[in-house]
Amino acid sequence: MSDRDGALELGAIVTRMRGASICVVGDLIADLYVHTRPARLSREAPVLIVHHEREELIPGGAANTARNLAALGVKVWLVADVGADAAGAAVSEQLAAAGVDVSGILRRDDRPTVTKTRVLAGDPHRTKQQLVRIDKEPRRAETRPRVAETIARLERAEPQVAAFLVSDYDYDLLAPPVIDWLRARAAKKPVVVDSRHRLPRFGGVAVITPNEEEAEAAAGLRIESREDALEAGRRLLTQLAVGAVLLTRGKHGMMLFAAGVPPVEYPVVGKGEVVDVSGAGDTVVAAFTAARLAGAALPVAAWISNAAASVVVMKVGAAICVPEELQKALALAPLPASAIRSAEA
Amino acid sequence: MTARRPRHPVAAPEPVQLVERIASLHGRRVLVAGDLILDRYLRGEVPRISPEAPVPVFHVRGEEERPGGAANVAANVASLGGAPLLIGLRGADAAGRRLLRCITESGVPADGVRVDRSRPTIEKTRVLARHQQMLRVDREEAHPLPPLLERRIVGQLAALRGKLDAVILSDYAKGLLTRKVVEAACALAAEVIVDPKGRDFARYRGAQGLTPNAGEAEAATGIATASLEGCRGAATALLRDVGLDWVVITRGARGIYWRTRHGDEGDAPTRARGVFDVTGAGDTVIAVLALARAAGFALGDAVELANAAAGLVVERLGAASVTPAELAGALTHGFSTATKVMTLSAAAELSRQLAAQGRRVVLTNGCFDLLHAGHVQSLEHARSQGDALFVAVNDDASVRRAKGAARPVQSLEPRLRTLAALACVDAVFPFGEDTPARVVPRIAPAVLVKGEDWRDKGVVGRDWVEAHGGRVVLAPIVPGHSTSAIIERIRSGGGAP
Repeated sequence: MSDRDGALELGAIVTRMRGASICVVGDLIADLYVHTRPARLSREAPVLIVHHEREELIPGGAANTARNLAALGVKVWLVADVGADAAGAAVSEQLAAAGVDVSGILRRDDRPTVTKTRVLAGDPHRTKQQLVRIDKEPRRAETRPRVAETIARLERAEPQVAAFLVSDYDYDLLAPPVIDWLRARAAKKPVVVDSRHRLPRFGGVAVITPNEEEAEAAAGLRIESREDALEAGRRLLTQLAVGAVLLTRGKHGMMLFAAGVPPVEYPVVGKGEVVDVSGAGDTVVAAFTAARLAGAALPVAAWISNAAASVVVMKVGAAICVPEELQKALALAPLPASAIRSAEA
Repeated sequence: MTARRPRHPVAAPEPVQLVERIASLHGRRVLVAGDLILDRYLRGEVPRISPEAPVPVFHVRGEEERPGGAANVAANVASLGGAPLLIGLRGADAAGRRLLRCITESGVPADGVRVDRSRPTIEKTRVLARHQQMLRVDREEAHPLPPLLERRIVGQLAALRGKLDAVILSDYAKGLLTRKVVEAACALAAEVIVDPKGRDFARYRGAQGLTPNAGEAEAATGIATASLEGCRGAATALLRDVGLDWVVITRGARGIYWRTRHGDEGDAPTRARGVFDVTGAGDTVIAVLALARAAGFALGDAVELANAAAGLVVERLGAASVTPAELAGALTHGFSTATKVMTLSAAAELSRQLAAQGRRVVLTNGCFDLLHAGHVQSLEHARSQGDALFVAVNDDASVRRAKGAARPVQSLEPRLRTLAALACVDAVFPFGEDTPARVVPRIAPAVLVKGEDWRDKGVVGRDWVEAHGGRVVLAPIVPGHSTSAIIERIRSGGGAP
């Protein structure tokens, strides 16, 4: 297979993503960026007063994953909870406008939408600096996850989707019975898991996509070298009995571990300047899952997700990658030989 | 009255006389026109540094919204029993709708509030970690009133001619009080009192009274106002330059200075003993002044009343306004701590409010028969575990059941009253059961404190508190202090050991 053929083949996969349908389940986060300009010191207390200029609300967490899938043309069902507040309504509206099916979003009045507000300050025409991050989250002691309602929503989505994508930011949606329900589905449909702190709870699923920090915690070792990363990936693969581990390593690229084949290592794609890595993990898991459903072998799907990541890290804020951008990135980044060998094996 | 060399010395008003006249404030129609603000308070904690940037991550535990600016002045008028009318602007946004709700909830009719589509609702968001402010985010666009709105507001004012007992112009320099609006207000045939902003007070010509703080008076006149002499000079200059009948200068911890164009003057020293929060005290001062003047009080008497009200507001936890009963209490008894004695229901309501503000309520309980140093020490320890201390006190029957027929030595009322006088105690209420099992869920404390001696007996309420995210603290027992030992020493005729 020549490079040219490889690129065509990759391009065909990206095109076929349009026919895929995925249920994203997890913690929805509203990422709010408040742009301000410093005004003066307060008379009430020795603190800065900043003047509000504008604000920008970006769907984060599971909502960012859903938005990334929708951008790739995938039909997305989102199962998530919001509060009865403006942030929840705004995120739901943005997702619906992006083509995500939001009928599985539950609006609850017993807890707020998880909101992370970053207050940025600076004079006009200068790069603004973050002053504080203000987090609003459900209080564990006071809210109970709506387990029955969550499972009912998943059951409604199940006949219409080819895979489940779990986006776990360790808030209240993925209660143990919900996790058990998802694991029970793993025998029938691929379940791909991106989990912040609870990877060990997801044994037996198709794929997990930890970053180094998450892999360290789950595998119980520090990752300071390539060898450590290889060891961590192997451990997770066997200990959790998952089909594959896609380990994202920031500037060191990615590693793919699958049963019965040697690990594949991927360098970072693209030479563009990395401006913002926030949300890149959501893009990776979205592109990876979409590529799998479009018929890509594991090592090929990993490569495609690597290319998608290279697109979003060059954009500010949790960003998305559209098929045209992904096609272009893939045309410049032919599938590495190790991935081809692994795919053929 | 400590003014030196007053040209026309004025006799200090008798508190009793003033108390009798508080009732006359009731129902006075006061128009408040000015800049409306939505004051927001985010209360919480900073448990960590952000992984994304070297900045604190603030976790919101409570969110509170209050009417601010002119809306707070009107809320003060309502709370004092007056009949406020409010004229001001809000934006066509969610914050504006919430501001309307805050105004209505404070007992002020909101039908005079107009929508200004040219700018957002003015919002001031304070980020408070524990009690420390970290940042204030202001959202506003200060520009003069669009001409059409100005004409409408002038018309709104003209329609009130003859229907008012006093007018307050509450200026935060956000654009409502243009010269035309001030002129229209001054044509209403009622005394016009201005809480000014900025340096150019000539804009308020036509008004009768002006209530700058010392800083504002200094900025407008260039006369240093730190001393009483300076206040006198600044007030004299303002009376002359703005053509006023009187000036009241609020001086923070130094009290209030007043002067009329006839040269009468006086000053009222501050009455608050502990200052909790000075925000909004100026709004209370102008509300009381307007009502008292509308009721025919001489300026000195009105200032005396305003000063007592301001003292109440700055001294107490969470207070933004004063009721006539509280004002009467403050004037008759000085600052009574008796308001800390309440029922279980009232304590439960106060606890709920404090929790909504992100404050951690501490609960402890006991008989507190003869208050001694051991009690004081353990109560102070309990207070240090959170932001407010609630004390549940056994009633007489439950003390008898626990300690025998000879107890309590002091009945319930004096026991409650003595505890209320302690600075570390925020609320005291009786309960009649043998254990606080029923009290704990009502108060829903963040921290439950019991003596170390309860370690083995099991702390009643522990399960409830821990299941609801709170914690139980066992306080060290101070040896050598106990009510029983004191009673024994008195019986045996012995003195202190």
